[in-house]
Amino acid sequence: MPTLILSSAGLLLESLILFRGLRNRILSKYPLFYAYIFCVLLLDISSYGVYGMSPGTYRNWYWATQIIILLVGYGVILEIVHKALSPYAGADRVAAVFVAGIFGLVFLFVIYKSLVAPNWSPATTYYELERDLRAVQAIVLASILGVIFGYGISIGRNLKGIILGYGLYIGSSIISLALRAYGGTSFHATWRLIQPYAFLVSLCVWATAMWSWQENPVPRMPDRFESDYESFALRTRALLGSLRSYLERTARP
Amino acid sequence: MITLLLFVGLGVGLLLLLFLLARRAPSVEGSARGLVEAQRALHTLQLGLLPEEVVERIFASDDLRFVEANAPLPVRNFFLCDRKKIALAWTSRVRNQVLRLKEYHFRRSRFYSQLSFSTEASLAISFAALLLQCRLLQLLLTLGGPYAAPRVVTRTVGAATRICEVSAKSLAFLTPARAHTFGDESPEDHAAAL
Repeated sequence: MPTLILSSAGLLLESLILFRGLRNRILSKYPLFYAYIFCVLLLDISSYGVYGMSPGTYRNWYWATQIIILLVGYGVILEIVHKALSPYAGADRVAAVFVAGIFGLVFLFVIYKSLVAPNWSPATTYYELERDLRAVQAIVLASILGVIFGYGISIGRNLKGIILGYGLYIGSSIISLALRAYGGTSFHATWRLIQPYAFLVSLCVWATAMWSWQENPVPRMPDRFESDYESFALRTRALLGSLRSYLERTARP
Repeated sequence: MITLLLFVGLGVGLLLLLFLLARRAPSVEGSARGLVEAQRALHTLQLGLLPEEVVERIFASDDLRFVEANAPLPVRNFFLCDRKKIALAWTSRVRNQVLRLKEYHFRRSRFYSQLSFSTEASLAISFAALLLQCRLLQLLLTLGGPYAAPRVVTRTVGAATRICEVSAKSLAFLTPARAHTFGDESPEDHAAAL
């Protein structure tokens, strides 16, 4: 019974988010996010059909849908990067280097392990595979948040909601999947409890944040803006040097 | 077990970042306040809010020797307590200047399309090292008293020297025409610019 209530609430919230997105025309502003919600809704509905017709195949179906949802979720992360950082060419560049670096490292790690240990597999179970893919998402999202904090980038309510909701789900998924992979079947019941509740909380965050359209704060370029980045960076370095001279003086007493 | 800890740590770390994001106050984009404050702080620094004689007086041991020789123990304790407060206030001020400079730099550099990732990374590390040293200095002043400072400050200077080593390559290109300071711009310029 609680599972049914949970699933129904999930379907209701997903439909509500899509409905509000269509009605307020936010859908065109965040197409990848709404594509993700649509995909989740579609797969949730089809899961009912699969479970009703062939409960035996449901397990494989469930994991296949999870992987699809996870891959579509990368689109949400791309949208976060694009919407948050595109007005800031410099910060966007730093984020691009971070994201490319993370994917490059993951790719190199998989290649290296495959060459060193031919029998090695990135994941032996579905739990491990989802955990690993979620971990990559978490690292990418954390890097983007680092850039947002580091460069003092302001984000609007809609985008903040998308990040909070998706991040919350990724974070809780990693923890529960890691515990499930470590604890085995003894942790299965807890995992089955955490996962849907975490997603329901994310849906609530999204439904609230995406209720109406709010434009992202538009940055205004300073008028006295040096065209040359290097000369600007040099000025910062020169000032760091003057700070050093103050500190040097304090060492003398 | 290590794998479990790594993944749980990653999940908890992400949730902490989200908590910070949720608590973050909505800043007004294009607000001149932050930059004007940063620039004013730098002016204050350059015009001598931290003059040599003040710094020397804060960390000078002459005063302590005088008090030790001429005053009773309660007076000496009171003097040390007072001097410690002053030393901590000084360190806190230096740290604030570094923070404002950092904010100034990164709030501007985010607009540069030709931004260099390596330069930004080295500056971020330099700022982080200097801020960490200031924190360490505050901690040691709290624990060791005001006269632990000269030795501790020497360590801070060591970190600052490393900053200069990192920047040595770029400083070689610093011509007099370019070597103007941030203080060249008035707060009004910043307010107008933003």
